[in-house]
Amino acid sequence: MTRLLRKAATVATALSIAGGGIAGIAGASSISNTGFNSDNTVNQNTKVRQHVDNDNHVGVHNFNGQLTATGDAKTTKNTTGGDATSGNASATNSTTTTLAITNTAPSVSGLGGGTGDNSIDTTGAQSTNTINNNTSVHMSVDNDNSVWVSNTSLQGSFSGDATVSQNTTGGSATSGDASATNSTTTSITITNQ
Amino acid sequence: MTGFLNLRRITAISLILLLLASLPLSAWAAGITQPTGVAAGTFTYNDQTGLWENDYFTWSPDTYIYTPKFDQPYTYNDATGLYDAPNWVYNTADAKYEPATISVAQPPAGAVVIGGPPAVSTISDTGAGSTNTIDNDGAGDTSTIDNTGDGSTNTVDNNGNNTTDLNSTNGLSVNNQIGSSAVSGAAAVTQNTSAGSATTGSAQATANVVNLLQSQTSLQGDVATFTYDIYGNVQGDLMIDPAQLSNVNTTVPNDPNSLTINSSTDASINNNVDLTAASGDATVSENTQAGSATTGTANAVAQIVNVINSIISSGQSFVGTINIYGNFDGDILLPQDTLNNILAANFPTVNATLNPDGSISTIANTGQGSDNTVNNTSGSNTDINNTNNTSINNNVDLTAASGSATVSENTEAGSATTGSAGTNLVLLNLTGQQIICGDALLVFVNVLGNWVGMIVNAPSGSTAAALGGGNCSASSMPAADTNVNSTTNSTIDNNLKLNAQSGDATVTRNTKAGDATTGGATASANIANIANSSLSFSSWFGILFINVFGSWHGSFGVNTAAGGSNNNNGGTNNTSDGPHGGQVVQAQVFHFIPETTSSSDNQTFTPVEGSASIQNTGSGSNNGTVLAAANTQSPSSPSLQPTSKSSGLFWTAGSLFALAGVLSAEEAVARRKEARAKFRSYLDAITVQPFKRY
Repeated sequence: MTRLLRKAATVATALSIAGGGIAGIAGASSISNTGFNSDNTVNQNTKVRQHVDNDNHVGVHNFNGQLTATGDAKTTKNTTGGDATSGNASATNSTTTTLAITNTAPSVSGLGGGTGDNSIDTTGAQSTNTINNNTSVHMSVDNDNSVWVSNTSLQGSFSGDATVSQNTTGGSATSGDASATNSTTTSITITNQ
Repeated sequence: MTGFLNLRRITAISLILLLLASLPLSAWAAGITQPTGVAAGTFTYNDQTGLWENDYFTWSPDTYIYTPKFDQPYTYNDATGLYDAPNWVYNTADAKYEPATISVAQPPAGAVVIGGPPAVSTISDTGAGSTNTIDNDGAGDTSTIDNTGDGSTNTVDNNGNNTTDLNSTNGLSVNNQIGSSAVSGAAAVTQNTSAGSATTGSAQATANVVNLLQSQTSLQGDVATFTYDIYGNVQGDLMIDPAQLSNVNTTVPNDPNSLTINSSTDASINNNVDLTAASGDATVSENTQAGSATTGTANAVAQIVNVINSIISSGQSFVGTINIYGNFDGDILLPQDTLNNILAANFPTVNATLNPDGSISTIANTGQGSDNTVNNTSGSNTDINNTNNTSINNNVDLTAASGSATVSENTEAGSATTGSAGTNLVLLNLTGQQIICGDALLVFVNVLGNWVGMIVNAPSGSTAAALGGGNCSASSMPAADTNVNSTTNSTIDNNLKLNAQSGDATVTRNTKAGDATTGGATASANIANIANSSLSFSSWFGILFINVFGSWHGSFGVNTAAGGSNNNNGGTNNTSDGPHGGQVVQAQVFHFIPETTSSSDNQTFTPVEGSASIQNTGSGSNNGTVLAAANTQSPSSPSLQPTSKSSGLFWTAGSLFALAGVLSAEEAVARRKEARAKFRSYLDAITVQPFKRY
């Protein structure tokens, strides 16, 4: 009796933000060629709030039950009897579980990056030129991963009895081999990046 | 001349027809332009989308533009100032696409962009008496004030307020419940005038468990696995040659504890393994004339590999087991200069492990019933708190008992001989280490009898070792410098209960009978625990279990006089007049041959036996020629028939009870009853958790 069970699962959660991700906040502004004593101001206020909530809950249960048994062999009450030989009993199980979860969130480093260029150029004397950039980015990522894998394998392998009895002439009594082999492989990888 | 021209025309027309035949009918009929280039043959036309497609790209016959079918975010690289993106490039030599990275100065329009260069603010060419201020507080955009008049007040005020809250909670649990019973039947020869012998079969219970928990593996191709069984005594050297396993360009893996802030990981592996192997009783009684009573051997073996919170990167890899059911006189060798570095070993009786903080923890190899724990706690600086708790608990209960042999009340009979009984535990713990090598092998030597030998470069008495080849470096894992408040709790519980019992042999009340001989009984376990480690091998990585159920006179990796010759220089071993009667003794070589499976492009390696001239001085055979890529059965085992999967837990459990009940009606041997009762009670005892719903 041979049983081969293979399970594989991959969960990938990739976050992509429309408009080019965190970087690339639009809004290029320019003021140029203004007159004497001008008051030139560029105010840019950007507020970004991102919340990512990845909940991955995976449960895997593999149950394998095997029972192999060969029958008894008897040679009894014969004048001339042969051998009594019971067969071999073998149970083999192979279970493989592979599980991968990948949670991907955009990088929060290197904010800025240029598409929102602001410039004040060629203004007159005594001008007051001010560029105010206020950028607020709040990134919140909650990854809650729980994985539960349970492998249960129960195997019984029994070869039968061999009996040679009450014969005038009898052969040998030989019972078979019994073997139970189990192979279990479990691989779990969670990547939060 | 005319014939030659006709031949050219026919050839040209044939080529055109072949070309047209290779195109989809719809594309051909519609005259649609097809892609060109080395990968053109991989594209097929999709009528519905109007595009040419392969697994990685689409190609538009209208715009001639390739569009990736995979996500291609552009991530700013601080080191190069470029944006990197994943890509697939066609390799003409291998005729397949391979992963690559492209780097561009400016991502294409519409692309997903991650990160970017720091903002630059400038004030320049201002007039006399100007007041110029740049105040960057955090990130901001590029700002420029340029060419202002005299006396201007110029201010750039960038205020960036970035807050990041990354919370990762990982709860991982693997529970393995393995209960196996192998019981051979009883054999009886009774009340005959003349009869033969009573012989019971052997019983073997084996469990192989591999757990990779929160561990990244980058192993090229499939892992080649093999089990090679040799029955009878063996004389001569064996050689394992993994040279055919290909190299790969591996990269040093990333720190497994990076990129997390407020990270908490609880990972646990629980292995509960209960193995029973019992051979039946053999009885020869009340006969006028009969043969001997001989019971079979009983062996219970558990082999467990646990890898937790670790990274293994390697080329081809293999996990192999060599079982020698007898005595072994010879060495197990590797090609010369293959593995010259000892990375770890399990002797003397204490495993020294380097913790992330540089301290040394120890696990005492305390044998049966031991409870071993390593707790590592480290903090790299005041801003970074990494708490890494690793607990490894090995509770191993091994019992082996050979049956009793009785010869009594016979007029004439033979001897009564009981078999040997042995238990053995081989344990290797590898924690908190960073190892970079060309190739590596974890080897476990499990000898149930006497072993006169050693593992190359390992301290005398070692029974398990990690061996490295090529340029090797081994150090403690570096402290992560990007983690903030990281807590990792790793627990490995190995609860092993192995019982091997050979049956009783009885020769009683016969007029004339033979011997009473009981088989040997062994219970043994090989355990490898790898925790919080990073292993990177550019060539191959292997795990080899060597189980010798008799005695072994020889070494691993050292060519000694054992086996007939020590003239081996890495190849076959020939001797014409050695100490074993002038017999030619060659090393039997196991190497790996590449295979390409039909179902995929992955190239696998199958271990095969090379030139063989092992002298088999005992019964049985060791003439196997091919080691399969999966576990092989012993030559005497019956062919295994595949079975359909059970339709449900209750059906399976019910069937087990039913079959066990039918069998129990004719139980005559007390031990057999006990084994079955034990099996049933185990079924009752276990609680199978229902599939958890979230």
